[in-house]
Amino acid sequence: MAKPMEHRREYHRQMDELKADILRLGGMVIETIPRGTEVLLSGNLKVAKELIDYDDQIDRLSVDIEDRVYTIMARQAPAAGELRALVTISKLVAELERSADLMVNVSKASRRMYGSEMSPRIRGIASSMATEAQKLMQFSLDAYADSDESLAAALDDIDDALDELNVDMVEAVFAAHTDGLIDLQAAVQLALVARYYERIGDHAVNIGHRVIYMVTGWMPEHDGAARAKAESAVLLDERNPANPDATETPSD
Amino acid sequence: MELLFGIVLGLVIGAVGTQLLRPRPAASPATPTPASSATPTTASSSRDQAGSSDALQSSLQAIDLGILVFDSHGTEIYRNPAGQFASLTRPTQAIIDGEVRELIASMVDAEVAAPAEREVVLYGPPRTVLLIRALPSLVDDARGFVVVIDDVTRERQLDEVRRSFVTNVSHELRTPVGAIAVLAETMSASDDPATIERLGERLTTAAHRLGDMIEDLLELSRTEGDEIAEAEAVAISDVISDVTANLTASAQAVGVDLVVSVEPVDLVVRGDRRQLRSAVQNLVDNAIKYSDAGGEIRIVARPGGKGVSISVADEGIGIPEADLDRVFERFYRVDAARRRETGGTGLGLSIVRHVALNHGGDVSAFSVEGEGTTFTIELPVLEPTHA
Repeated sequence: MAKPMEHRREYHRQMDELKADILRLGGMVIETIPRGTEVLLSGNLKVAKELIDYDDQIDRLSVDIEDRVYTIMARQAPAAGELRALVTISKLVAELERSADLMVNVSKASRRMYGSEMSPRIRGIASSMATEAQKLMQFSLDAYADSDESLAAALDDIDDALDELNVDMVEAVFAAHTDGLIDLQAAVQLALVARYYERIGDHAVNIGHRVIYMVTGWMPEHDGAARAKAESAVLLDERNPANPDATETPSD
Repeated sequence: MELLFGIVLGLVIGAVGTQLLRPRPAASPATPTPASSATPTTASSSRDQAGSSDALQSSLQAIDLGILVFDSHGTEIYRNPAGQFASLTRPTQAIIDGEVRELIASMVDAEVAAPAEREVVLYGPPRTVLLIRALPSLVDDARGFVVVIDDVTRERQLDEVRRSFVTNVSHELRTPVGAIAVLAETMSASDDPATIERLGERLTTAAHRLGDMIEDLLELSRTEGDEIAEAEAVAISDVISDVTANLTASAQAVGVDLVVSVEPVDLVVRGDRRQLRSAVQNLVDNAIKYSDAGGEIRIVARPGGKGVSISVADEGIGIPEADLDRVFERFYRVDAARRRETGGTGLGLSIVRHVALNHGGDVSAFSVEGEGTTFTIELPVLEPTHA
């Protein structure tokens, strides 16, 4: 039977490996952004195929990380901060894995509109969206690696630029379609592409929220949950017959 | 700690010393080094070993290959500064570490560990290609592993440029040659004067295209030499005047204005007049091809950068950021989706870069898609600064 000290050392080693692997997963997801964007802007179908294979590797690593998280939870019964760290890793895996799927979607959309010519403005906006999405994902992983709750909290504001680019893109796509420069199929695919980039930004913001939770035990969603709880408590109180101020619900 | 250093030192002497600190190794297993297991018996040999150890440490610190050493369990026990990849982001470093861990794990599990390698392509930016090689190493009875990480981005890029040059040059030459052959055959079989005239015009166009291609290839070949054939004082305003005189008609044909500003007007560089004219002409010609009617092309020369800067800015379709680094490669074309029938040879920007380098300067490109592109040639002022 392993001694307690060795047991703890092994536990910490496993946790360190998990943290290293979540950063690796994040790095791989960040890599999907320029790859998918190259497919979009250059129509390079070889890169599209590579991206799909790369996503399989991301899926494999995601599953592996989650399995190890559950094993540690089951065997080590962590508490408090350590439990939050494990829960955070589990949540981050989902956010990251989904972000990679979105870049695969960009690649698939590019294949569907293969041969359609994008205007320089649309290409420019798409390129900027990719840069912003990559930056946001990078910041969110920096926040995780450094347990930096300030940077994590700032992601919401940083994401505004990507949201604005999404609006610009949709407007540019509509204008190009109205002017007859792109057909309906291409217009729809491009609007979806903009949405995919914008969603990656949202996933980065979610990662930020999870980092805040890991560090402080609180995250912005808790405020909304507390408000909803307070409102339902008031409603219950108002309906309570024992409450002299309670009003009867009209029967019709 | 001393034991750890001993292991690192032994592994490094055994593997790095014999495998790496000599011309590029073939991928073969590292062999135990008898010198590393020699027992020092005299004060002088101890001093020698200490000296060797310091020299080796310094070499490992200075070498630009990433070097990592692992023990028999796959635990990392040494990493040199280049192996930290400090200039890369942490997630990217984590990708590299993950690849190394997988490579080492496969060797630890193997009964007889063979050298292994894998290439990791990182899109960045910047795009980076790393070659990771893992070698088993033995010091006395201890089994270990040495990993060498080499940044082969430049080599891979050059390989691709060489491959694509041969493919492109044959394709670009074959197209007009094929057209000329077909047109000539059709002409010789036709009796209709109108058809012969029409085919003759197309034949002339194809012949000119072939001539332009050969002329550009010769120009590129001339400018690829390191030296300037005829160095003389060249007034920048004269170079730009010659170019605008040549290209004003082309600009007017597509409805683009050429705006020139040379400040001070007597700006002079020392160099090859023909090469400088060729470089500026290529930039302005390119700007015209990728501009829309109503646009403006600004040609500005002024003191700046290393000495004199000549910039050509258009309001055209722009170049994607990912392509900016590569537009100076021979035959490199920005992706097919935005290619225009410009009639260019794909060699112009390559010529511009060689001219700039020949003059001890450089050329750079800045672009925003949909807004335009600015190419800037920076040339050192050799002597004199002004005429």
